[in-house]
Amino acid sequence: MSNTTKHTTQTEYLSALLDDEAGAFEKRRLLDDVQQDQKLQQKVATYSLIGEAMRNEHASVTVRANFLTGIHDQLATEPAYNKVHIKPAANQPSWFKPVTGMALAASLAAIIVVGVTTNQSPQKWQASQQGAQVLALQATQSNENNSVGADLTAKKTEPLSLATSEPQYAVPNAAWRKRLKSYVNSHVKYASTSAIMPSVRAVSYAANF
Amino acid sequence: MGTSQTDLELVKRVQAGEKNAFDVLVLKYQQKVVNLVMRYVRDPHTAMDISQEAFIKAYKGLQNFRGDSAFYTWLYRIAINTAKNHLVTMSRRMPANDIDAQEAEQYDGADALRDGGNPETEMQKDEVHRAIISAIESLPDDLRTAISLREIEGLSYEEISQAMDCPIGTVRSRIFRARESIESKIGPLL
Repeated sequence: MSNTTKHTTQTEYLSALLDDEAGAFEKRRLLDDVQQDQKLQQKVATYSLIGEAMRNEHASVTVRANFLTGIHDQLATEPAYNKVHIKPAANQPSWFKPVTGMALAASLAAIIVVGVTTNQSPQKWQASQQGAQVLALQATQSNENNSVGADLTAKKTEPLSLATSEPQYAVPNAAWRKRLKSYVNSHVKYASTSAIMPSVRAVSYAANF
Repeated sequence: MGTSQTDLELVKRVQAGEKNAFDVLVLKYQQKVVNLVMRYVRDPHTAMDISQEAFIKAYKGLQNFRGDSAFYTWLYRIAINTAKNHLVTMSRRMPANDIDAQEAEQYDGADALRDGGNPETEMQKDEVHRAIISAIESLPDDLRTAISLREIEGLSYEEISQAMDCPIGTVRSRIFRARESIESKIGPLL
């Protein structure tokens, strides 16, 4: 496509845009182009002038090219005009804000639960450690006995000791607290700056980090 | 040109910090606003100043524009208020027949409110206008009909395609070609 043909197509779509007859895609693309291209801007002014002349039989004053420059000059003295705007995250879907808000709320709830557990007795902490060891042992056995692709559902497994016992709570030590704090900090940072939905992460005290 | 969707898109861009999107709005409506203000003041230079002031006020207030009305209706009110404030300041007589915002798009009574300017200005303002009218009259019939149905009657492309019994793409092309032809004739005067 030659430049002349391309330009013709572009200005033809611009003409349609001014009549609000351009499609959504052309509209976005053209507005991007018009904002940067002075020739296209001149087209906007001229096409609008033609329309005004046709609608008003009586002659009127024709706006000259320096009209916009005058506005620029006056706005340049305004502090608000010179302030650099930070463009918000582009085109976030409508569900994004509430979902991230809920995720943050869920995270805070999890933190509160963890915080409550710090008031539990050391005996329960030991019981929790034992349960965790059982889980770790089972996981090891399961890995040894099952190859990739094996029918896991057919294999019998011993019932988990934790499933039959009372709920066990942990009393995190200083190292754990430090680690939890880093998790929370990371999560808050992640949830507040990323465009990807934050996920809920289940942390087992038995896992080896 | 009641292009509310395109205007709203431009407004959103300005609100997002894209200053040059406002330039497009100015270029699109500058002539309309000046014509409007000229109903209130006789002097073209004063009309230009008031119009510029109106656009500056619009820019400052654009962050609060929520799209409850069309952008031009909102701009129209700003321009009218700016012109009225100017007249109050200058202690001049207000126009006898005020115009409602609903009439903004169709109003055609500029000469009723003005009582003339100086001959030099009259010649200058007539020149471009005469050239446009002359260019329209010299257009081929299909182009003239298409652009007239759009600009004067305000029909959509689909309505024009039905009226002229041709595809919408042809309507778009005819209106574009008409504008290009007129522009080529008035270009040296601008």
